[in-house]
Amino acid sequence: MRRPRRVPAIDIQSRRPAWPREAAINKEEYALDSIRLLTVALSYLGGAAILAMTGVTLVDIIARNAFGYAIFGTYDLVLITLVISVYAGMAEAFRQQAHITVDMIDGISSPWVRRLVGIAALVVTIAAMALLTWLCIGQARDSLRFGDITTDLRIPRVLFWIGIVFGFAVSCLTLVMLLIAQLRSGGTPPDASPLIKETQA
Amino acid sequence: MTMQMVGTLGILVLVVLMFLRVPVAIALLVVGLAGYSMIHSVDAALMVMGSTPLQISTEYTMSVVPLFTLMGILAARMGMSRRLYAAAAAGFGTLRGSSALATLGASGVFGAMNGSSLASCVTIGRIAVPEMRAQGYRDTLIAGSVAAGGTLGILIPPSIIFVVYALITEQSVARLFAAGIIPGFLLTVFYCLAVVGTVLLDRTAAPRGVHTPWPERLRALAGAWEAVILFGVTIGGIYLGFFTPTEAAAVGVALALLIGFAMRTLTLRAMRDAVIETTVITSVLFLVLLGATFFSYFVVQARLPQMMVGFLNGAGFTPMAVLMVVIAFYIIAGIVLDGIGLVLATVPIIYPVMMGMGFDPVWFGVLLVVLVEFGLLSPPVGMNLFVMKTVAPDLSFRDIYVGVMPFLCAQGVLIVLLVAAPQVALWLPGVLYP
Repeated sequence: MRRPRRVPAIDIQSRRPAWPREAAINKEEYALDSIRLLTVALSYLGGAAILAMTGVTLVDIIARNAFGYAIFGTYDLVLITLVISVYAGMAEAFRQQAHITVDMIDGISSPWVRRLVGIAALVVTIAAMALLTWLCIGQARDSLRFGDITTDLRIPRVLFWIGIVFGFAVSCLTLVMLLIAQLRSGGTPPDASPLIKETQA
Repeated sequence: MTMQMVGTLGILVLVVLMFLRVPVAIALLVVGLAGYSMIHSVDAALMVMGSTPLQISTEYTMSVVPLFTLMGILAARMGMSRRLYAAAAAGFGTLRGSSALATLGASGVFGAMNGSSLASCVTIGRIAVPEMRAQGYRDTLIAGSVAAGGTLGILIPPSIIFVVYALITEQSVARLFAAGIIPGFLLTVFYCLAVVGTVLLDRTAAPRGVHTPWPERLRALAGAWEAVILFGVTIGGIYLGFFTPTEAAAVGVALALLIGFAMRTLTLRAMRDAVIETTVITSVLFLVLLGATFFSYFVVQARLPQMMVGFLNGAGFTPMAVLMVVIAFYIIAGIVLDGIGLVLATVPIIYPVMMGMGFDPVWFGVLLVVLVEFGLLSPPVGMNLFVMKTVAPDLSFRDIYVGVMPFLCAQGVLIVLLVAAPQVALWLPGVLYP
């Protein structure tokens, strides 16, 4: 059973974070709320990338059909916006615990087994994401060293890698915060923020 | 340790990790890394793993995923589901069980745009359940029609599962979309027949539809124009050769925004929420795709498909017997795992085996999606059953289980039809892309 939140993490009416006005907020919620600002901001960036992808594709269709002229570099622009949209939302997805899991064990195990399994799964996830981040930093370095560029617009590929590394690194940070919050609360996963709950509703 | 033993061990570890609540994407990555390292070397595995994130996110085809997802979420936020339901109800008139039929019709169209079985079930359910209750429908029919209606969306294009399947198996997205149209239409008809059959067997299960004067009915029918335009322009545009799937998806998003703001059914805040939701869904899908891609490298290196085909041939299994085993596997696995997760985790292994047995890749994609739908509806833990319980908490699980049975039979009929006559799925792509 999830522990009820003591204070709202965000004031839904005013759309401003409730801390530091709320002195009663506990440390793990403070930490999660700090990271929430970053993950939500990144989600906005991802959303802007999707809208940009829509715009670029539309302009290309109109130019091609109306003027018989394809916009040069559309392909590269779609790809860079796709990379941003994919990795910018990853940390927020982890924070919302939206990633696909099999939860059959929940119904057949005792609460302490569930807590233990939840923490172990989080540790494995952090390790995998940290490894991915480290590997992608290496790939970014190689890309910079060899001067990789895209075919049409000659955009340095290292920019793609920077987006990926940043998305993974913030995901790692979010996962560590989640782990700390779970350990402090006896293994119970913290709730998603009220903002997101409201969004999903 | 032989490669085959490593492969088999990898699959066992994968299952264990997934049951231990490790996210499916991470379980696939971890097993892929360990297995690849055992077959080659740790350095080789790390090098391939490091290059995969850029590789999967720079596949142009995959840009349809965020775009179609956003189109569907915008459609939901614009309240299109309510107008679709009203139009479908007006279309079925005073027929006995017309509201259940309208639920299926609205779910089919709304689900096609939304691409999410669960979202479709929740959105249409919130409108249909109170309506049917007020008219005196039996709880079993309410539960069955809403839960089953939700499954239609993932088969009728544009379907995200088809896009993901196309990427893993290197098939054409447009061909797969075309292949899903007739089975999707047939399943809708079979579901409607399930409602008619239920009502014929027990006339107290559903009352006659409310009589509505023709002008009002026509007005309600006309209310579905947004859905008709969105669906017609995007899917029609692909098959008339105007757009690629990515372009169709971008046009769909632009049209949804245009209609939403013009009709004042969409606010800036709703658009912002839709965009954030889309970003999160996109990230979730791509992380699983990243895991599945890396896992599939390991499966190929371990020569697992060849081993399985060799074993099945050696044991005298006919392709039909293998198909039966695969169908049984997906029906059971679909009870445990969400649709896209299931497809991504299993296709790297199952797909080469099926191709080795001589099955058509497009046909198998359609069958796979129908099997995923079956899993969503299967008692006791099919995902849509729980969603149904969330939509109407006072419905008992017994009523939900009993209610979905006629619809599971309808899905069974479609599976048999697809196996007996693959042309049901393959005829249209054959005509459109000779």
